[in-house]
Amino acid sequence: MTEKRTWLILGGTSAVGRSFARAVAKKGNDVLFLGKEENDLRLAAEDIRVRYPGVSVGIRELDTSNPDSFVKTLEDCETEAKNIISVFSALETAYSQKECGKDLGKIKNMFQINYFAQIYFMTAVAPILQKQGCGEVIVLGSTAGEYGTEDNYAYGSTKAALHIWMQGFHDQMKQNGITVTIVKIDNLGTVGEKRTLSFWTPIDLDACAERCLEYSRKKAYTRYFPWYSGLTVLLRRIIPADILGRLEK
Amino acid sequence: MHWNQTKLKGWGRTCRAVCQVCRPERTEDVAKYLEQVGKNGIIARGLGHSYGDQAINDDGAVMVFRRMDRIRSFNEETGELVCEPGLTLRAVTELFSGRGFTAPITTGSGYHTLGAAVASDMFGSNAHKKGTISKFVNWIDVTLASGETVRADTQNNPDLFSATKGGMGLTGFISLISLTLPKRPAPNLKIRKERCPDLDTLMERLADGRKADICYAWIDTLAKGNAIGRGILTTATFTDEAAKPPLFRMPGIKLPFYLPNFIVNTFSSTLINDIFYRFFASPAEKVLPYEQFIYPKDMFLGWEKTRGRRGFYQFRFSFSEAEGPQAVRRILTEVSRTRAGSFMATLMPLKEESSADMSFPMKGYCLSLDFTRRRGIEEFLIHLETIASEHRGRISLQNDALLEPRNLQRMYKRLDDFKKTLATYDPHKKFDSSFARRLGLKGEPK
Repeated sequence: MTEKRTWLILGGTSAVGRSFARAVAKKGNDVLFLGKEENDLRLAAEDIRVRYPGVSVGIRELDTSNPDSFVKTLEDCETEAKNIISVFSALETAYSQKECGKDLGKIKNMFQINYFAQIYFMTAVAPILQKQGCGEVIVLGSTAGEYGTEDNYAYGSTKAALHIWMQGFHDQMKQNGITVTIVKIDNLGTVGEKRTLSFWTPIDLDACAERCLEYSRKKAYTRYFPWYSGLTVLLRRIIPADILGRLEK
Repeated sequence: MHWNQTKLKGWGRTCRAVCQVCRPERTEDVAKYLEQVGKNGIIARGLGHSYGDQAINDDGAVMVFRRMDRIRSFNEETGELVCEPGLTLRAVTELFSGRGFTAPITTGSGYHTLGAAVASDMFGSNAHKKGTISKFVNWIDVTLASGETVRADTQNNPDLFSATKGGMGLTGFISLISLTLPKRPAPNLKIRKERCPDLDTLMERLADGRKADICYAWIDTLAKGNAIGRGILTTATFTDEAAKPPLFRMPGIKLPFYLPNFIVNTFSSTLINDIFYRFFASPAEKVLPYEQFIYPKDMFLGWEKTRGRRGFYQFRFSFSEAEGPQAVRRILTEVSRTRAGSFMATLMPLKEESSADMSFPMKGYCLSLDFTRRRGIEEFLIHLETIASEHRGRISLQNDALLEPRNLQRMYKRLDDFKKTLATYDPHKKFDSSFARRLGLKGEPK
């Protein structure tokens, strides 16, 4: 990944999206924020402009509830991008299980953003990446998508669906020389209660952004962040559910 | 809007509490979270580097501002930076030192958010020249208990402005800060380290050190007899001379675990202090790039873990020029007698009182001492507090974990003005913390 890139950033107004944008801008890459909230996008772009004056930063409107508009938006991005296009997606919304229990619409909303919007976008961007014959796709997953827990299994199931879809997408894009990486995060500090065999301290977003880039550079398909959260996933699979349940009580 | 119940600690690990924690990522989220606050109110938190109970709220709520760190604008001509409160001092240095500016204060660690720096009226080893961060703040936007955000500066809401600076987050949330970054006179620093065998020599050399841009002294608090107050004076002055990078540079270390309590004792501390005093004061001047010299504590991340799991207290006193030498001698004698001291002890000259209501500095000296937590240490620290009070000194609220309300009244003359402003802007005590309840800043002490 030595050649300069134009990174399309979905969910770039979230803190983790902004951290990633800073990490790539620091290395001299251009950034295009895609999203719906214009004011938020403008502020995120201004932040990058002040920090790294030599970097080209733009914003493009992307309505996640209207997948038909994705192709047009991506055409605009392709015209504007001066370098190889790569994609980073931190697009997600999260509700606790309690909130989902009270309002089923929240589950639908989570699937719409965490799963459908992302797969539609990836499907729309795939021809551009294939035409380039190179590029990177980095998607943030979650360890919540690896096992169900009482407090956030609705959210976890949206991530599980995304993980499976991305696995197939990775295999397809690999044939065209495109790297697809999914980074499964243990605790973004946004939703969920403390769980046994989990880490409560929310992750360091700047470190996460650096790791995402490193994993992509190494052409890894899937990685956990922090790395030791992979061990907790393994332990959760090995330890019988009865014992784990008793530990959690 | 997500709240997580979690146990938070002060940096010194001596204060801890179970709190409801939220982490807003955008300015508009702040008011939404504020609507949901229940009993015991809410307090702002940055990176959690306040030593005591300043940024924890027992059975209450805490808003972590680390993720609100966007820069809104920067004026290359004037150095005016407008940013959100989660931006760190280290980030300011990294981003703007190459453009000829410095962070306004040179603290030991760069891992402090600007919001926390303003709310605790922070200062660093350049305090004898530049004062505290308050001096560089043009205006702040404060989100009040009602959810309304107002601008505070010397013209608009001046009472809110001077109460929020150094107000420990009790007036409201700082949601936007404008400050002027000082121009860096030269890219490098000429550094001089000087060994001083006793307190008289140290005080004398410290007076001369005021001419330098950065000046502080490390003190061996475990020295005895005539050597009480011996230490190493470090001064640094901006220079255009070419920097000579050292042949060997310590790599950044991060201590991954807490040292066992039995390792942290008087014997080990005396040994470390003695080695440091004898071998870490090379008399030759050296020139280093500015960025390499500042934030010495960040070379050893996790240094607080060297105190073991039981944690430590930091006591920071300020004294006037007249009282300073006598007060410092008295305190160091007491510390040496009880063998309670540890490695981290510094003495710095101070320039002036700041414009904040709860201004800690005064023209004179600042003495910072760390004490590993052990049996009987709390009583000893309260004794030191009394000594400080007798010498008309002040104890820093940012570092404190034990100050008694009666001493607070004696040390901070504008306390009543501060309380009045709190009552005006937050009559229902929505902004509250374990610290405020301990000192009775919003009612009777608890």
